[in-house]
Amino acid sequence: MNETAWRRRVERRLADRWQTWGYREVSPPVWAPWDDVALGAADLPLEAWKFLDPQGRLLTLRPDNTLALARLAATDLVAEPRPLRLYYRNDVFRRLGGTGGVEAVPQAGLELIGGGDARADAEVLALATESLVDLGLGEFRLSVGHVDLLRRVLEGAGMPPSARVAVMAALQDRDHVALEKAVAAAQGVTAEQRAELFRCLTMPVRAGEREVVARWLEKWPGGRQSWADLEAVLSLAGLYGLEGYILIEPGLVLDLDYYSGLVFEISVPGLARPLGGGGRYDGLLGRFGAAEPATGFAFELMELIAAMRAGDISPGVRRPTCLVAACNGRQQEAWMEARRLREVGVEAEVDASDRSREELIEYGRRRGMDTLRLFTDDGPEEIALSTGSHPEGGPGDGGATVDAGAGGAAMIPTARGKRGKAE
Amino acid sequence: MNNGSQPMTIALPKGRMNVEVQGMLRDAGLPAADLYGGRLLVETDGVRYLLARPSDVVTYVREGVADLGITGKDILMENPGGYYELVDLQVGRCSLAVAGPMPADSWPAFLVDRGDRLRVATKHPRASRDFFAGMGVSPAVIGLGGALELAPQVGLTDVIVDLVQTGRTLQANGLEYLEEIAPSTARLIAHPVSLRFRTDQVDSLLAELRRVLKKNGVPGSAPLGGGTDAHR
Repeated sequence: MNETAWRRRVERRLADRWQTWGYREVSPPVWAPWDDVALGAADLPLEAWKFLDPQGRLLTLRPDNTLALARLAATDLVAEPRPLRLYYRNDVFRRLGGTGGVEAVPQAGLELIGGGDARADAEVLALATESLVDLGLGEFRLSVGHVDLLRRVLEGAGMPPSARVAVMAALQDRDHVALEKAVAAAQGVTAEQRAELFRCLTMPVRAGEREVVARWLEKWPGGRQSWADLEAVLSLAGLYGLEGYILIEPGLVLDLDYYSGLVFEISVPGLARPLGGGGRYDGLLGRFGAAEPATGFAFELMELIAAMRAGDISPGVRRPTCLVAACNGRQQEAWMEARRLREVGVEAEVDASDRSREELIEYGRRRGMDTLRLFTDDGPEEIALSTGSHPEGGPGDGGATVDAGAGGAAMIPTARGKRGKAE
Repeated sequence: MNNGSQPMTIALPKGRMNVEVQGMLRDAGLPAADLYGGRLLVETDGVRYLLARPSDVVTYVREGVADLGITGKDILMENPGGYYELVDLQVGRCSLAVAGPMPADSWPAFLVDRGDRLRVATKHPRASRDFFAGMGVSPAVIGLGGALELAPQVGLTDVIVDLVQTGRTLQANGLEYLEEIAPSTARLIAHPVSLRFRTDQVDSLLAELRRVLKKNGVPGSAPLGGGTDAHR
């Protein structure tokens, strides 16, 4: 199955799921004013693809959906009742690796705007988890951190600002050797406390064992409120049955700087890059209009699809496909047969070339189709093209899917008249 | 959180660091890697070892084919991002340095005089550019694959930036050690997802490695993050 088919299939499943939670789709414009991007996030302006509109205004190709939806919330949707539950499925545009050209990055994500407490954060985590389980992914983890917790812990650790900067840089670079050196600059604390701080910042802890993190953080009273906020979310997540999927990583630092509270990243074994992530961004909406708390996440669709392919997962069953051809003025029989097949859920393609029987067989096989039906002077003939059905949507790009539940790979109804010899 | 079904995979560096690195891993309780006779892959006692060029270790870890890898800090400086750098193993020690066919005390004046016209041959273009940029100089950096000591002798470049261990190769080619860019030792790196799905395994290994480092009495190796049962 080709990329587009996979993508649409996954988007459809996500959209259906999110709608059942009360989210509705929005389509932000494909362009974003450069001013919005500059308002939103520190690094994005560098990565965004810029161009001028006919009036000479500087625009970008949308680099980030959260910014786009924040703009919508402050303008078109400003009078809508809160909280707003919105989702999107589209591309964002980023520069390829430093000096490369622009890349369209498919995403699907959602925002909960106007929800300010643990219930909103827990809803977002639950949605992310449920979406992945729904798509058939068994093994994944949500690594959860908290921007404010990290900041307050570092302040409370008696670290001079330069050391705090060094710690943040080391966490961003994922350099634990540099982190160790930076943590050594914590003053007025024992070696044991330094060791615990280092451990707290580097080792993921299962949500079910969060008392370990609580013990570490006891030493840093500045972080108490933030930890209480995070714990409230984790408790709710536990009630929703998400605990097994969650890891606590106080040292987690995400790339975008508009996050203000809980942040998370989704990992799957065997995949180098995260499937997606998100978090709380209470300070962002105020830059576009009235201040509002907000939280959300996005899936990177290419990574999600790669994870599904690696896990041999397919959320639907491929429809059978049939090539229908006729010769010598029997075109109408072919057309009628194709129509009949389509009505029972087969994807029927009517041949519009002058290919010979052998050429038709070869064409059908290369397209990955299941059967060929020929209408000739000797009567109708059915030829099996593939060996066995391909419920996953095997080679070739034929076969859209229907949702699982519509039955297994349907048998192709036999043609009226004689059954031809199968190849 | 252990992907116990599949063996943990560790990418080891070929070449000068290999023996010391393998020694450390054995001291830390890992099985010996029987990689001889041209073998590049071996699995023993639940651990899988790959043998790769030091610069390729990063690629194997980034792609997730190896959970862990060991390579020189100089390699990490040339290939940043996509992995966690976990611990300095303090072996394979050498110096990434500027070397050239001139007395060491004439180097500062030479550098000032040549400025941006300086020509440097190296296998570490990124580290070289960063180093000279820090001094306000933007030299021509010529990337070569090896045998850098030849370049200044035939006038391709003024100086080289290379890893120096004993200094014998420099001496044999009439080159002087001029200035250190950075010391380089072997580092343990990890695939980001492996740290999440094999936390306990990685944590135990780190604890053992820190114990070995402490035992070896290496300065600055006081274990900050070694896992203990008290945290479980």
